[in-house]
Amino acid sequence: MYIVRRLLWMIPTFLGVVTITFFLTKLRPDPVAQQGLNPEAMSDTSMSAQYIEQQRQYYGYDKPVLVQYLIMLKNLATFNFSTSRVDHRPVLDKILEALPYTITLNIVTIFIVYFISVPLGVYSAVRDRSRMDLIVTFFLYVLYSLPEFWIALFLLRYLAGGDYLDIFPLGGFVSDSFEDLSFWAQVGDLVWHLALPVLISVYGSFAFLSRFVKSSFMEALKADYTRTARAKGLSRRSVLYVHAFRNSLIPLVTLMAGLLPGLFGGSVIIEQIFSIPGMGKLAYDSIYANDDPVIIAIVFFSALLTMIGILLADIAYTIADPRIRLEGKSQP
Amino acid sequence: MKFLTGLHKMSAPALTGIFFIVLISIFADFLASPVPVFVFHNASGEQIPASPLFDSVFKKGRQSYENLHFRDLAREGKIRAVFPLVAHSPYEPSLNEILVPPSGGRFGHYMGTDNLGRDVASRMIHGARNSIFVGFIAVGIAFVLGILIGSIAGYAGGWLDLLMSRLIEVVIVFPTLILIMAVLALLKPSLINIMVVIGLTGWTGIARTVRGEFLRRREDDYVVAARLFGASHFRLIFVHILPNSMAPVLVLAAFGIAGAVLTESALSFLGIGVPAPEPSWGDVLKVAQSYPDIAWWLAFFPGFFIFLTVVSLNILGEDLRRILSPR
Repeated sequence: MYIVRRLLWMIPTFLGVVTITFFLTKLRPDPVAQQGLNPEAMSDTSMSAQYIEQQRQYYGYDKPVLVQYLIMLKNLATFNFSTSRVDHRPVLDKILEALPYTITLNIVTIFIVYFISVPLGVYSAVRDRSRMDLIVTFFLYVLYSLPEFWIALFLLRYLAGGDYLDIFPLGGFVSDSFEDLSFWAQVGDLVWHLALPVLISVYGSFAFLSRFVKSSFMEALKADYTRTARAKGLSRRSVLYVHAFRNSLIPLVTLMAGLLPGLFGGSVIIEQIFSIPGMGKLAYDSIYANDDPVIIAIVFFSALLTMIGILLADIAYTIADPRIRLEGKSQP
Repeated sequence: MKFLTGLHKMSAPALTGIFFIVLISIFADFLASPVPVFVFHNASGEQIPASPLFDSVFKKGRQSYENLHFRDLAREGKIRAVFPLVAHSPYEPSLNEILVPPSGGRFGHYMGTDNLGRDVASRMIHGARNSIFVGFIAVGIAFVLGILIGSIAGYAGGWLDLLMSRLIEVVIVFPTLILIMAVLALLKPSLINIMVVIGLTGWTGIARTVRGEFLRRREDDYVVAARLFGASHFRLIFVHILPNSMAPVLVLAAFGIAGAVLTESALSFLGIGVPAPEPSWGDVLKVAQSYPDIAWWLAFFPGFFIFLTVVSLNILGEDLRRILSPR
């Protein structure tokens, strides 16, 4: 019941997001998309009046705005995403082409972030306020505050391409000869290309996640069941890692679901710097090419995944922690 | 005194750092300008007031003063004058000083020059003003919006709460950077638009926190007592509940300013931030991207200023959280 209600409440949110995107793309001065704008008055003469008229009819821009809006809603509801206005390829194709890059980059990143942050958080919690904890915390905050585009510039200058250590490639995802390589050489090539972008997207996230683990672990350490376990005379190891640690993982589950939209959206900055043709770069390029169908599709998927993520987090929470009864929760 | 352990040892340096950056941004006009602060000996035959910098800043005659080439007059010994710390304009290009490495001396380029021969130190100082301005105003907008929407939702409950919660959810679910880029592509980037856009996309955390605080506190004894005494809704919200809910909002504001400064410089780095001749830290970094092998100073200084600001604000935010959290 609760889940059905949540699903129903997602509809207005979704409509809101789609509506805002639609009108944002509608408001721009664009000879094709905007009505009443005289094509001859535009400085851009590369488009003939005939071509513009054709485009307008194809994308339905000759209809009243409200009709266009309803058509777009209908198309989204039937997962029909039209074609790109830049190269006239199906929008879905363009997205499916960009998605693997972003997902690969993000999965590697998330794996490394969790692999390092969880032990760090546990360590900080067990040794709370020790000298080492303070040093680690401070260091993580420094990492968190280093602008990624700044560090990327320096890594590219000293480790890639330039006059210094020419270890890594300047950008891209795989070498041109990727198809011809053996499997292990392909893996090696991927690692070689991914090393710098992953390093840049990883370091800033340690602070957030390990603080999160730390606070939830400390919560678990203070809990009654931990005290009981200690009172029973269990070993310190068993208390810490069986009783406390397992319970402190519950909040981590919710965090996992929150990663879903990031997996899809990618990072505009990192993809831009390392010229990775992923979702972030596609979004950036589409916005500056007035490619409305692509923008709407990206926002659509991104919003959909975010909401699914939020929902999954709630559900995962109930499964992981049976004490939480969703029916009794206040409105979402 | 328990909170006096830990990161707070970094609070003093963090506050100093913020203070330093804010001071720079307030006094940017006096710290970096080719116009001298005082002229105490004038043999050039030009009509120059005793303190041309004050004149140029307060009487808006900047352009005509900068055309006087005070540095040349001083070099030739025609005037004796006290120049600001950095005696260069952030805008003035110089064809024979393109990509000059950092140099000392009275009229040196302490942080080098960029691809148009503009003094980087001066652009850093004037860029501080834009960054800090964007950070504070954007968070100010987010602060007001977040408190208004959050308190209405939490206080009123019912259908108003549902409506406001949908609004919050819409903005959370929207991919932020895409929204910012789309709006900026629509409005044309300008300092005001950037502040407004960052503010309009950054209020959800504050709204959610305030809503939660209001839900928790609206049946507290002091609120019930005030209500029984006939306090108005306005009074209940702004005098009784809100002041008690401010602690977590302040923490979010500190982190918010750091985030806004970072977003502004990222936008400028992508080329869609503060428009062209205006100095911005991110903009200098964007230029650095084109000269990776020749000009390290173009990459180092702006990044360092961004880092200094952001790390100071983050440490301050973390300490505020530690001090203000009840546990």
